Amino acid sequence: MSASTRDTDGASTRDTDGAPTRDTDGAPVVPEGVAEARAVVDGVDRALGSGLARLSPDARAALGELGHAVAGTPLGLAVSEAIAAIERGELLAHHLGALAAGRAAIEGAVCDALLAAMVTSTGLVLEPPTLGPAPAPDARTLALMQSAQQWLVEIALAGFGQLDLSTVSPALAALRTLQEHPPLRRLAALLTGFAHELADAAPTSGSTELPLRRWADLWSTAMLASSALPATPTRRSVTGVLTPLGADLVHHDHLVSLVAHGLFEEDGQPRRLVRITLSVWRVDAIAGPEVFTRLAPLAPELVAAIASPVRLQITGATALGSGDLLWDGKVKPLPGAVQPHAIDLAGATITAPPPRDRHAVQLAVPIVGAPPEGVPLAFDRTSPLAGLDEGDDRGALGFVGLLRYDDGFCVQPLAFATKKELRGPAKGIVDAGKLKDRAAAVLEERAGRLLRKS
Amino acid sequence: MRSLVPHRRAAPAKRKLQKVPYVELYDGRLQGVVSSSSDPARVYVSFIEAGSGNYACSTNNNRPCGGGGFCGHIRALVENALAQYGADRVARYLGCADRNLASESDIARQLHGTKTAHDPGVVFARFLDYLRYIELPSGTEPLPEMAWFVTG
Repeated sequence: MSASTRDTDGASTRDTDGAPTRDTDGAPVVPEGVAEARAVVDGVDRALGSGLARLSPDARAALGELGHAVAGTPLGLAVSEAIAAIERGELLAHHLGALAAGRAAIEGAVCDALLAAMVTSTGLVLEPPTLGPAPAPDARTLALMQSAQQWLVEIALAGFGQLDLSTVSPALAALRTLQEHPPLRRLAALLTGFAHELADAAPTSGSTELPLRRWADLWSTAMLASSALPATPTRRSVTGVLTPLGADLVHHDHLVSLVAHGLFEEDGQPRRLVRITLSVWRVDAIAGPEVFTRLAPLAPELVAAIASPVRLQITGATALGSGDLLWDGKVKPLPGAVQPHAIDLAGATITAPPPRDRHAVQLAVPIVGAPPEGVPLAFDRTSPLAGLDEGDDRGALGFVGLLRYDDGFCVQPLAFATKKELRGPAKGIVDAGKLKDRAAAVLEERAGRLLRKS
Repeated sequence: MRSLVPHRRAAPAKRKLQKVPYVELYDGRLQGVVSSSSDPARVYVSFIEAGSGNYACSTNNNRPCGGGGFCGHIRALVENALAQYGADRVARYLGCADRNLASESDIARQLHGTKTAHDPGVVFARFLDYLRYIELPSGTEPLPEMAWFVTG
């Protein structure tokens, strides 16, 4: 089975069981209720901004709105009890956890509606994630989770608008143990970015530019991650052909991940969109092409195939029920170059995010060919490490991107193909192969001098 | 107005790692480690404190640097901080109202600090902690939470 290419006339339409042909290049439509949901969440965020230790009448009203919004859901009782407790000044971790869960439930409902709209407009087929039970944390894991949660409680009581270094520093000091404990790798990646971001902004009082919504997102995600481990996606061994479409780079100062998006074709299975994640911890001095020298050893054939697209035969890799593929199989590049921007994705399956990850920020639906009519390109969603800048779409013959939602649908570019070159991470990957000075080696040599002298 | 992810930052400019292997805006200071220009075996530990503008520079075994005012090591520290973080971020962190910093003299003009005694051990310990990130194991398990960190 091979990745079928788009018809030469560029139209990508299909007939299914006599249903009307769908215009798969149409723009998605923002579902009803998204604005209302946003208003409820904004209210909670203002309360978190001013601090739960002293609730203004506006904050009390906003928490009440959250209670109404989730009333009648399985979370309703826990959230209303937590709000009553917070209003009485009982500010225990599990009360704040319930508040975070209520906020996350609203974000989750918005995420579901947005994803349905995106899938409809792109002609993909949505599939639910398959998950096993959540593991129970062992004693050490539980202790680390509780310690992280204690700090999250402290900053919520103080309020994002009243943070100083003394509130933030305890988290920075605790990061090390978290980073060295693999069962909490996700929480460690999140808190390392979040705590450094807050430390960078502190003191926050008097600032009028605080990213309240963003910090409330990070806070509630971390709050849930430190309350219970997430359900584990199922695992199965797969063999098939992977066509890499493009790579997204996500990073904070201490960790960088390359998320490759690809089309996976497995005998007897529907064509499926998958993600492969390669992550390395780093320091901020490691930037530019050197990032790729550190990522490439994790999956050399994949990184090479992003720079110079070919299909890859994968044997015995692990597919996760979350739509992710682990890079643990045998890999053989197949002969012949492919053009990712010319691959027809219509009818491919895409996996919905697992319950804990239901948030608009997680939505990234691959788009090839051209961005949908009327949906703006969002260069600010693309990493400065990706080598793409405003204007790189000029003269492009082909395009690969991710349909996203951030207060409106937008398309994050991953790559533009011209007659001569592939604009995007490809250049950085090629440059990385020619690098001589390795920042890590210089840093270690200098540290060695210090150690011997002290 | 998109708001889930931070505003895109410019990619850092080229830094002289051999000269300034470590620079960071951390714990209320612009701090770093600067190689001696005369002795390859010697390094200096320097910082400028946010707000007060107080500064210090000494070797790692706590011999004070001979330079007066902002010495050559602090000049190199600032130059590399501006390359790594950009003038706006450095100025905001240090509390300089005029964010157009071109060199250390633009900081001296705005913050009137004095030379202060310091324990280089604190900054050095942080340098080692910073280096630890290079040694942490990498992986291919998904990290969905990184979707929030696009431009850091």
